Amino acid sequence: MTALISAEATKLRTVRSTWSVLLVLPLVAVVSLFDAVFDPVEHNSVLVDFMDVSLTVVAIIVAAFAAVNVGGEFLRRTVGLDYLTVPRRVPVLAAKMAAFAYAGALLGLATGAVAHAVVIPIALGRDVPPDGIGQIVARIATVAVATALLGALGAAIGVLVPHPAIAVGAIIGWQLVEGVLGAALGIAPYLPISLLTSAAHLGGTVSLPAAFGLLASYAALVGAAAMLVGRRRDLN
Amino acid sequence: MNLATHPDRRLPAGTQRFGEDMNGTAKAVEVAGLTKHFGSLRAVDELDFTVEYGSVVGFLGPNGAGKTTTLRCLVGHVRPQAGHALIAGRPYRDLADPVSTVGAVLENGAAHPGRSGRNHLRILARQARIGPERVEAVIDRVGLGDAARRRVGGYSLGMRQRLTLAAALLGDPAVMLLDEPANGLDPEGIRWLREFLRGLAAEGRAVLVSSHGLAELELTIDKAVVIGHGRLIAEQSLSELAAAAGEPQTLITVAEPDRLADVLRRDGHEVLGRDGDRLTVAGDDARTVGRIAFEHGIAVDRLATARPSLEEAYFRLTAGKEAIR
Repeated sequence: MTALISAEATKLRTVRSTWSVLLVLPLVAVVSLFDAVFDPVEHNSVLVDFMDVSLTVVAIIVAAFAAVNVGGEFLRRTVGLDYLTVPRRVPVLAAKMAAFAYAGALLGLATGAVAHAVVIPIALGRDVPPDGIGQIVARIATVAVATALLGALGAAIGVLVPHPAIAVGAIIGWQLVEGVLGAALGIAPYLPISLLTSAAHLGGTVSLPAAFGLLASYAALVGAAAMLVGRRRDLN
Repeated sequence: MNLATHPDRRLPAGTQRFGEDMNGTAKAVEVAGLTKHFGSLRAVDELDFTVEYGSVVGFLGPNGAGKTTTLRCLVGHVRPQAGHALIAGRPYRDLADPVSTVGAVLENGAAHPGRSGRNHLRILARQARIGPERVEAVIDRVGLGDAARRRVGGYSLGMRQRLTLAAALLGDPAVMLLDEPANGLDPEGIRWLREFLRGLAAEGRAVLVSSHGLAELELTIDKAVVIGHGRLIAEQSLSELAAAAGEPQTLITVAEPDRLADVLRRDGHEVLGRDGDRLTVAGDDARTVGRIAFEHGIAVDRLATARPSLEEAYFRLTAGKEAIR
């Protein structure tokens, strides 16, 4: 299993798209803060707003990145090479989820760190009271855990929907579905996007550990479905 | 060098040497009663054939005949509804060390276009716990050379073929499965491939190579497995295929083909067909056919004998067997 995860990580390391995402994510995070930075009256903490907006956007981008990569392997049929090496498919698919969780965590750490490094001086200049170092570390760790979980979830979606464009469409479209579903069933706080918001506030309607627990459960559930489908799917 | 006796050779688990399993009986490839249908399309239909170690077997059939599906069944990419497809006596998924047992080229150019050829091979090697030195060895073996540093997206078709062959060779396998490896290759590439495949067989490996035409494999293979509509049409050595190609024929082009045909039939000759002014007569007795035409005052433009080529025999076997989709 270690060799498989290491190989998957090498796959990510040896293509430009990974590095492009690494460059783009902090930029996305910083840009999404402009409103909070330049309108501090409505925001008692720039960093809270950073978490509210950026964590969701960044986590969804990481999920889409994972889905595109894994779905692309099915589209290009390169996953067949993985299955030649390891004929039993479940370990291959599990390794992909693990590798994207790992990559998601690294991307989240980098994004959180860079975005805070940019935002804190701006916030101080605008007389917005910054949080303490402990809270900053907690927020960066929160971003990393959320992006790790969404990375694994995205990889599983890539297996289930082996076409990158459709997979990305499904991920983006889910935000609309979640709004309708959540309102209709009265479970809005417990659905993935809302859980990201709860995590952004380091706990809200749902506590931080519960939010992460539920997100991990979603990733495990979709991952199990992906393995069930993936292990039986013919590679034509 | 015989690979079976090479000191560095990592033998597949359960294999004493090429051609023998623990009981000394396993074929390199054994397909029996294999059936696979996709909805109403019967892609492979109760197919049977075997491949021995130390031989190159051509897996022939028109496009859509079921060759690729059969190869995919062999490596577990496609699950058959009935029958079995074994390699070294076992289903692919039960092989203890699949990469060292089978090298497969099923998707030519299946590599991330943004990754270098060398990194592509390194990833596969890492998955299979094969050392990086083996990556360099297979790059040399297929003649990829400096191109290994470049991104796969910039490769020519021939270079992609070499890269996929290199990937298949990573585990130093005893059995090679190749799906239309000559597709798109120029004459030089085909010659290189021919020598490459013969070299693999000379080392004791079994090679099953598919193609939709016989011409490009005629000088390479020991045996042909011909399929059409997913069913076995012929499993013959080249000499058997040549014998089955048909009797020699006499071809005569004349000014009055209908009159000559009548005369020849009255004389007991079998006229097989007419194509314009040319008659095809069974047998290679051109002297007699010419004499009969002369005696009846029929002017002869051309007279020759011919034996159907292997390619013609193949086309005859597979005529009308193209898949209807």
